[in-house]
Amino acid sequence: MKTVFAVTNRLLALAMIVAGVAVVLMMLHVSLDVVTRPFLARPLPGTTLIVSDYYMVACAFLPLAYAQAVDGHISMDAAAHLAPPRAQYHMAGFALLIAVVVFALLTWTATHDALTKFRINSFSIEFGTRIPTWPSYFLLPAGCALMTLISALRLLEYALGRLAPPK
Amino acid sequence: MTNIEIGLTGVAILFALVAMRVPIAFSLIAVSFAGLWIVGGERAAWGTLSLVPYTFAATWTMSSIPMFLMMGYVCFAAGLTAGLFRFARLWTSALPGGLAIASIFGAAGFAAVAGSSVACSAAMGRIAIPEMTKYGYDARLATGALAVAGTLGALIPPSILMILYGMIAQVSIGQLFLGGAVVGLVTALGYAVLIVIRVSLDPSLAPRVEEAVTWRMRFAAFRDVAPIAGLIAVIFGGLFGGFFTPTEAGALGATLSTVIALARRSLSWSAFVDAIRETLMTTATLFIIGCGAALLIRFLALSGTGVFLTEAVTGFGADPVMIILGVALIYLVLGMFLEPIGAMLLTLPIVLPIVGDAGWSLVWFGVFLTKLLEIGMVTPPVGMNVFVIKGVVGDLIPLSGIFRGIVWFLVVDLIIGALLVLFPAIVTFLPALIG
Amino acid sequence: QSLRIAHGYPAQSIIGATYDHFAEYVEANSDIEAEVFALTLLDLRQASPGLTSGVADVSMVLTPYFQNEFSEANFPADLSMAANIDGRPTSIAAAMAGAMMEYIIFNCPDCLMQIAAQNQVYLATAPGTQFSLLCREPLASKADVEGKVLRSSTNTFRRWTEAMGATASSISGNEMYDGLNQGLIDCTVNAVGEMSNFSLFDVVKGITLAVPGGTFGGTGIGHFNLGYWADLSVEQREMMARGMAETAAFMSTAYVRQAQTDLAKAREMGIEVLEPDASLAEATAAFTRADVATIVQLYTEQYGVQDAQAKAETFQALLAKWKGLTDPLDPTDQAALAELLWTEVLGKVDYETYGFN
Ligand code: NA
Ligand code: NA
Repeated sequence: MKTVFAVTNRLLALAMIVAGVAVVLMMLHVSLDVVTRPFLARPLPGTTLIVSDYYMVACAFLPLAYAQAVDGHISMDAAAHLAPPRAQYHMAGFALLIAVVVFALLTWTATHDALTKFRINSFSIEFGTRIPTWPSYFLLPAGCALMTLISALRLLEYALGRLAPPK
Repeated sequence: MTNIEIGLTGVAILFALVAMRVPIAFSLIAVSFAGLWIVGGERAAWGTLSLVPYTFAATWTMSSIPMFLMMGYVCFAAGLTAGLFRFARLWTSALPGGLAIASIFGAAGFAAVAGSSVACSAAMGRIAIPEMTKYGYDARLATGALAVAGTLGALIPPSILMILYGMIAQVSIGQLFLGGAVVGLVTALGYAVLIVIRVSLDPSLAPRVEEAVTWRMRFAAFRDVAPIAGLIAVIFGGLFGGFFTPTEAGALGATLSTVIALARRSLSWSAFVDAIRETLMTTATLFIIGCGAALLIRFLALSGTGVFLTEAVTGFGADPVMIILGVALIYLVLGMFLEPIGAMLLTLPIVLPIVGDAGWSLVWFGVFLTKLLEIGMVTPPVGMNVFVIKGVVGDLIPLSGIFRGIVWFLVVDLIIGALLVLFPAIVTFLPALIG
Repeated sequence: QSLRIAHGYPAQSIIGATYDHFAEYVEANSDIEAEVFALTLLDLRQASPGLTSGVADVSMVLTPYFQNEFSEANFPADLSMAANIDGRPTSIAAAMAGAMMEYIIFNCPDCLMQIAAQNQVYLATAPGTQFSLLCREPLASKADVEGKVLRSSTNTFRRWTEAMGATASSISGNEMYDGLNQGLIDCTVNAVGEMSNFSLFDVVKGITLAVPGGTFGGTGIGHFNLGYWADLSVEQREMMARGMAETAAFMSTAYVRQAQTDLAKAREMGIEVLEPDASLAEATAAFTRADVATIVQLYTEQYGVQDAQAKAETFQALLAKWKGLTDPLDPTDQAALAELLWTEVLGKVDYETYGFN
């Protein structure tokens, strides 16, 4: 069990690092595109494509699991905190069950899509430069799979009666 | 069951899940997927689930959201925000309730680099509330002022809400920003006037700060705000002066704030990492809600529930003012319970055609809607800004006390809302002037 | 039986009206109940995968959004500027519609294979009007255009922009207004009808007609889900095809009417409407002739299109044929165009087998 958590924490950190690099690269890449515009005859090739298909997908989906691990997903507290602590504990378990189901579904269908894009070797051509797009499709199932894993582990903690109470 | 009944049942289940503290995004996805399966069949359900998330996130215009978030977090992490409050404090020291007014204008300044209202409340709250407590300010006044000051974050550009609205309504984000700037400043002034009046009537709310403030100190404080003022000038100067687009402004703002912070040596590596972590967390949690809302829109459409609800609203009459009052009422009620981005994404497909057909400008409506949604940020039972302030102050005051401190400010908000309906030019004159 | 139509445009737009028209046609001529979902079910980038997975039964696939999936159909679509070689057609929308449909259905088995691979069946294309320069100031000559920044949304227009000595910008559609307003771009390369779609009347001061010219030929308005098509009877398929001929004609002529309305409004508002002078017209014509070879080479090398040269010649012959057929028509005559599309193309199809081989 401990090893599982250790490995998962490594994966979480890795996902956050990749997403963090993507967000910093996005900032620098777009800034560079704007700042060099007066001096270059043409924009940097593929800025729009790389920003939307790579950086955005990475920073939207890779941090999902980290947010789940720190209870960061937005939920409504108004009614729930009136319930007795025992009921609140079960509600937390129920929310984790929903998370496991939802993200298992998303992982399944996104993996299927990514494999299709990989098979047809999906790419795009910007200003005559050929930019492959298929690798970006694997970021979505990667983020969702990690999210499913984290949610499942926390659901296990719930079943063992060890889930920390919500903040 | 008819499809519409299935749709309405789905909405009821959605509310039940949300009330049981299932995260909003997961509730939206679960209900929509099941609903699409029942109404549209297996293929439609799987097809939609596979299409929406990727295409929702992989969008150029959306990239400004993480970028503006990052600009705000970096400014805060580097301590650029603290200077704003100090500056506002020195310049408002002569007024009754000066510290509360300072936090309103400090928040207005921070709003110009932060994209959301929660970020604005959190940042200013952490700085200003301890100060007010120190000088014996009424806790309701102090926390209420900070909760409403946060709402300026989404009104004064940059604004995540307005970027999303512009994407959906296909209107110029630049024009929304201009209109929002005016309404944001009017709101800040309104709050300040209210504080002056209330403290004049009951001086015990805010004891006078016995502190000799000289003009020399006031002018010296310009140094504290110079970096952030420079950043704001470059971003908005460039944006409205035609050097870059709103999308590009986000990335440049994030880069510039980092460069300024590094040059001042006020940004440690760990603070920078924190800023990135906050950016990623907020981005991911926002985007997954957006995906869920996009799925719900498809479920409501396919089941015919969307059209049913639209017709229910337009059934009240055709007078443009009555329609907008009806729409405003809906958002005030929704805002009591729902998180604003979710509420907006959920309802716009239904509301936009109604408002457009009634002859209202969609730029005006975008700003008006932002104001309404921001009111929802401070109304019970679910007021995100209030929760943030509660997190900042701990046991100083119960949640209900903060909500009570907000009541007077809500009166100001409703007056401003009414003014916007009566005089739409408040929003549209600046975009028209520059456009 | 039902028909689920989805498109990624507002209900009040021309494309919205186009699909409402198709839905009415289907309901008037069969027992099928048709429902149109504007914007709510599929957006532009979701249209093709949405048809593949069966979220909708019919949608408009903008094939250039899917460069490798539909490279065979995108190839003739990219050749649209060639319609202006040997003189501008009366209606490029009508000429391109006929040429594209006849090419894809009867002359390009590779196109049909690619479309079938996406689990789709193709019936119709409805292009828009000539691409023109919508600018902050009136530009008439090649010297005027030199050094300017033009929003060019396709590779062809980017090549033309650079050939004219200008700079191509790729800002997005909803940044167009801000871009023109603030001088980030000097012009946008768009059909005149986009003036009202994107509310550009306040920021455009000059319109230069039909340069670079050509049109967006990748508007596949009649893409069906293959499973849905297979479940229809032969009579129902024929009815759908007849309806698509009507619908393609409806959309193409509606674009012409919108361009006329927008031009009139522009003139009324004091926006200068110009023809390109000799220098700009000749430079554009020279580019257009040379660019056919570039496009052939591009599709051969980048997308692996076989026999591209022969395909280009086939398509150009069809363009010439359709210019001959449609030039005598009033460009707003919907019934006449619908009849041509039916008798020359869709009426000749064997609906027993079409889509399945
Ligand atoms: Na802001
Ligand atoms: Na609320």
